[in-house]
Amino acid sequence: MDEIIIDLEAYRKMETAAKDGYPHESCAILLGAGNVISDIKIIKEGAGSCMAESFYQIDPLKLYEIEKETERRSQKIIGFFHTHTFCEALLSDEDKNYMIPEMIYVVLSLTETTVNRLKGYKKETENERIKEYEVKMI
Amino acid sequence: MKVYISATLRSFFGRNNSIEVSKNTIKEMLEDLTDEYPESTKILYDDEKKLRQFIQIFVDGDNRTNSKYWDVEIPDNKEVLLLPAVAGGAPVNSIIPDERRKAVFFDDAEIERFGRHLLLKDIGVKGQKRIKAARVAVVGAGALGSPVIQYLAAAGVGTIKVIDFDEVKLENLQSQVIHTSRDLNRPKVASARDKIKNINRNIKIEAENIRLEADNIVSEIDGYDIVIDCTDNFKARYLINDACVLCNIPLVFGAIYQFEGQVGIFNLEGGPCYRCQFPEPPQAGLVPSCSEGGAISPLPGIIGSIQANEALKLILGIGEHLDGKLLIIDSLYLTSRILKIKKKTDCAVCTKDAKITRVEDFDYEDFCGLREVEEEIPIEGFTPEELTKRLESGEPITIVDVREPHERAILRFPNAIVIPIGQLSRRKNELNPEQDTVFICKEGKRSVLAINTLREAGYVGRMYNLKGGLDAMKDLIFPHEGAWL
Repeated sequence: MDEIIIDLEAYRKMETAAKDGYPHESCAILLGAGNVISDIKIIKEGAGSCMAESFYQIDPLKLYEIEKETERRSQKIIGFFHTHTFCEALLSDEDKNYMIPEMIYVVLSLTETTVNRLKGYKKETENERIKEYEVKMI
Repeated sequence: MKVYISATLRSFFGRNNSIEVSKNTIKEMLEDLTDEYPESTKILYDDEKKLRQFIQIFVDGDNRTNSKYWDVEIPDNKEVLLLPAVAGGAPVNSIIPDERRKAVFFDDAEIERFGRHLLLKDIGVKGQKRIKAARVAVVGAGALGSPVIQYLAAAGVGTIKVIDFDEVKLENLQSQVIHTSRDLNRPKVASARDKIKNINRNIKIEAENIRLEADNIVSEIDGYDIVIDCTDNFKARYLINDACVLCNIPLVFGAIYQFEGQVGIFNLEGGPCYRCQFPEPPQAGLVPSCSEGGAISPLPGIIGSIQANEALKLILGIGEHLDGKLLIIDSLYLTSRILKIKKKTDCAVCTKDAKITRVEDFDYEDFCGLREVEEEIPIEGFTPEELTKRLESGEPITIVDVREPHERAILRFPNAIVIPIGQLSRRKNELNPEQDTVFICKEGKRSVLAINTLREAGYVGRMYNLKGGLDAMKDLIFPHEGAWL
């Protein structure tokens, strides 16, 4: 299985965002290069962005704002992170419909007491096949 | 106009962060972009050439994704933003509410019995409790019902209702593995009940020896968590689908024919229903049922096992489901494919303005072409006894066998002209219009279709149907004719 590498510090930010957001889903923009996630940009609720128990959404204009900011800092957006509370770190049909090909999608499942599983996925452009990646921390 | 391309989409636009387009409307802009960057078509549009759900178009901070804005002129100084909508939701949860799961307990024997489920991280104690709390109705205790009922019982489903009107016949034993020779002539539900008891006496079994009709189906399935359709005819499929939609119960559908099988999940949390994919049944007699067309023995085992697995996944809330999908398996060439089923905006039963609001108000017999209506020119027919008498009297009569060659290999009708149904129109000149002609098939349904086909083709001779087909006649004349192989 191909790998997605996450910097430990970036993973800790994911965990914190997940616990802070619980019981609602949390989401973030993944920064890095290739399949290596070096940092994340957490999205807060507001304007067109919202997080609920079984839904999340990032305002496209917020993403535009973050893109401008990351470009100024010479950072690159390589994907998105979100949590599933109360259920598995599997992609829902809605997740799949909104997947941008070749972007990394990292899903973290958690309950009130435990952070369970982290899974990574990518949708291929050609056949729209979704491939699971092994997630490793460094 | 200048078009900003989101960093997440740039690889499809030559890695440009903005593109200058010499056009004034969004429609022209999209055409220009796809002409210039053909790769972008893949990310902008789906297979039906519709803009993908995640593509968003903004002008001056206003969302202009809706196509009603696409012909509006945009001033030159405005920047158009091409951005993705990033969103998602949770996968389907268990259909068994937590309160019901929490009310379930296990004794030591159950811990031992279900040990291999408890070992699975995705099932565990919580999942097994959900299985025990589940109430599942299985319609049909035949070929598909056999594996479904036995696997649900083995998995520990707490309440299983089995509905079937039929009795066990010798021909059922080729594929209906829940029944044995000892069960011949018993109601199938009685045989199924005994097998469930043999697997696990703690399961609550409800065996209903009835035929589901519009006036009883709702009371039979209401209150169940899942209905599993293991029937073999279109009337039952539409009736079960409609009742499930109206009672808001997810439906696990299965069907088999010869070497091919289908499985799908309909009506899950407002998802598409069977009618969304199949708004109308095929013409009566055109598609033989499994009992008429046959099916290889292990096929219902494969399809029924997948149905049971899908039902358990819904109960557990794990994995990916065939929700809004139809899995088609060809067991002869070992191929499979999954069709995506879209919710039909004008579906007769599962939309807001649905025409069908009560199953009692819909004529399923008529819809499936099963009602014997008074036709403009009624089809006359002979009973097997009447035809036997005419044959024995030596009256000149033409018998046309419309079955397929492999069917004739099982039982030949002496001196019959063989014309498969697809060749009738062009071979009508082989018939003598001056002589009575009797059309025969296995169950007397395709022969009606054959007569109608010839009438439409302009044949004017006297045509008769063998009522009940060869199935009804074989005990009368064939045993001493030696026509059986």
